[in-house]
Amino acid sequence: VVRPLHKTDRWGWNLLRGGHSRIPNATIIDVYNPLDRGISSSCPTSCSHIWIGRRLSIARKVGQTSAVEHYGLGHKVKEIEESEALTVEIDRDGVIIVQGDIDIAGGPLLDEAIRTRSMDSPMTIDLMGVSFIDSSGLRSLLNASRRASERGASVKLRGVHHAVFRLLEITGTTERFTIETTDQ
Amino acid sequence: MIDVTLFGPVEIRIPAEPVMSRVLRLAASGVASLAGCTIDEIEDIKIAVSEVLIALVEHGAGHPVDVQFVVGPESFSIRGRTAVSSFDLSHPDLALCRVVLAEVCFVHDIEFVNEEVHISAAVRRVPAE
Repeated sequence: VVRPLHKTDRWGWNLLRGGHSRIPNATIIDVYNPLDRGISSSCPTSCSHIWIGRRLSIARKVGQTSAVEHYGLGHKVKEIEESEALTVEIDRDGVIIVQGDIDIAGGPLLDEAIRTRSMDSPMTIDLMGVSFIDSSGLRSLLNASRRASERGASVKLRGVHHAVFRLLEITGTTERFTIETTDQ
Repeated sequence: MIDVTLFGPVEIRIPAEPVMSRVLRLAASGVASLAGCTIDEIEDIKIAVSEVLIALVEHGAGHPVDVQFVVGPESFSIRGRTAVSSFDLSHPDLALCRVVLAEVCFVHDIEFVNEEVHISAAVRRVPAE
């Protein structure tokens, strides 16, 4: 189900909840509230939805959320966030899947995803689609590690390419993560 | 292979915007490829360019950033500068930049001179046979 943009009420809350009931099998109820600059996510099946990055910028500007694609009861999130060079998704298991370059432009988007994700369980960040990272991207990963360690949890980096592993090695930060590398 | 060392420096002026990082990496890797740099050298150049821009954009004042690529037979140099009224050379985030630059470059330097921050970094090339 692909949702169209929804109109907002006089307070800027979008009316997605109203539209929700009219679309069969759609399960998302995500509301951007410009009054507290927060996003309320309430999905009956407990999957996590967030709007950050460019989409959130749009939402902030016009007080609306944009479209998200759902797949019935599987409630797989098609797309959570994207920029020109980076896409971040959180799958149904809470894994943060990153694709693109994590640089000074993409790092903040990853930061936002990390902040939004619950820290109740170990965090896994899938970097299979990342072939470039710089120190600003590394800061995002280190922030995740710090947040996790404050709660006695850990961060697992999955699908780490040589280029990413090299930067971790250069900066002596490999021990901050559990790392699964790729052969590339 | 084209001898780009004969062309002189490649100069680019960009807005101090994070999205320009990718643009600058593409430009640098294009010039490096033209100069016959190896894949490993190009990877180092991309990282160095990115770190230079992080320092100039994150710690700058939003003024345009001038970047220059100088291709030599044994090095690929990146020089960047932007106007700032003050610059914290000991900022912790800048320290991380320095660590990375120290690894991928054989020489690098960050200076605050005459209300401008200047950054230079040079990646070593394997001389062509």
